[in-house]
Amino acid sequence: MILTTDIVEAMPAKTAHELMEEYVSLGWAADYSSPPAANSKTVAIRLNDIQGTRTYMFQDEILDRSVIRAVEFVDSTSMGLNPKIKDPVSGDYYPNLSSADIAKLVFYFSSGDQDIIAVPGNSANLRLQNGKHFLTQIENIRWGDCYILLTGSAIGGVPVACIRVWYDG
Amino acid sequence: MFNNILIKNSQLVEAQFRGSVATGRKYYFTDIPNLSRNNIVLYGFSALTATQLSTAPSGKTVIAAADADQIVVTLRDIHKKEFVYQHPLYNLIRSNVGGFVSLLVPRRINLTDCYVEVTDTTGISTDEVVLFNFFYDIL
Repeated sequence: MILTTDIVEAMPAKTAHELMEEYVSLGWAADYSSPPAANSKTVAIRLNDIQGTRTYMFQDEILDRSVIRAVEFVDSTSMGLNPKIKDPVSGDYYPNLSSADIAKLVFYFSSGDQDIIAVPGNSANLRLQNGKHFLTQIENIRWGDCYILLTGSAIGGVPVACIRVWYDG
Repeated sequence: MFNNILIKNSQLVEAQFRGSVATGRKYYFTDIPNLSRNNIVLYGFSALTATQLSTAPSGKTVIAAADADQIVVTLRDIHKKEFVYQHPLYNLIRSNVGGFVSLLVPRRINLTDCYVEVTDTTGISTDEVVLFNFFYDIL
């Protein structure tokens, strides 16, 4: 359904049930008890640890061609070590960020210079949100245009952000 | 079906406690060019304290989680109607309400007409901000 002024102006007269049906058809709501998407993957990236700086995601052609249905920031309580990036000397995986460190981050879905969705790290942590995903319907973006903004103070150590991405396509 | 919000577009917005913090005063939202167009339809929103995001993207200090139960928020549409009036901030924080996001009957809003008020000034400092994530679609 394409959103029009007529649709918006008719909504206050609808019942709650009718409203929810309309929200689903407009892509404003979705069933949170279903799997968000058919596929998921873990993405990890080492952050620029300077307050106010952006860390852009590595290009990912699979995600570029997909519809991204949900994102999740994984914290150290959920998974102690990230499964992607290792210390080159010890060979050990770097630890995931604590929930306090995740609260310093905002992930931005972006297209070119335009930010489309702001995802505060804490809001997309499955454990802290009682299992509710941060549901999206993002397509036709370049994953390499998306970035993480460190809004808070430096994290210290080797900060690695670990993100789960749920996608179709 | 057990529905929760699906986010098409979102923008972090803030209301700042400019000047002295006092009960009975309105603290208006800061203008965001992205949301000041007439074709923006707001259909949900959530709030964040420093526990959710320690510092706003603007660099400003976000109110402490302990202060969330002292703040109410009012949203006004383009016709100046207060369609959400004095909503408790605490209940807009996702993790306080089981991960759900408050859905709204969609409205075109006038962001700079929207405001927050405090019911108790304890712990809230001048220039701190209340941070929101506004979820919207485009006509």
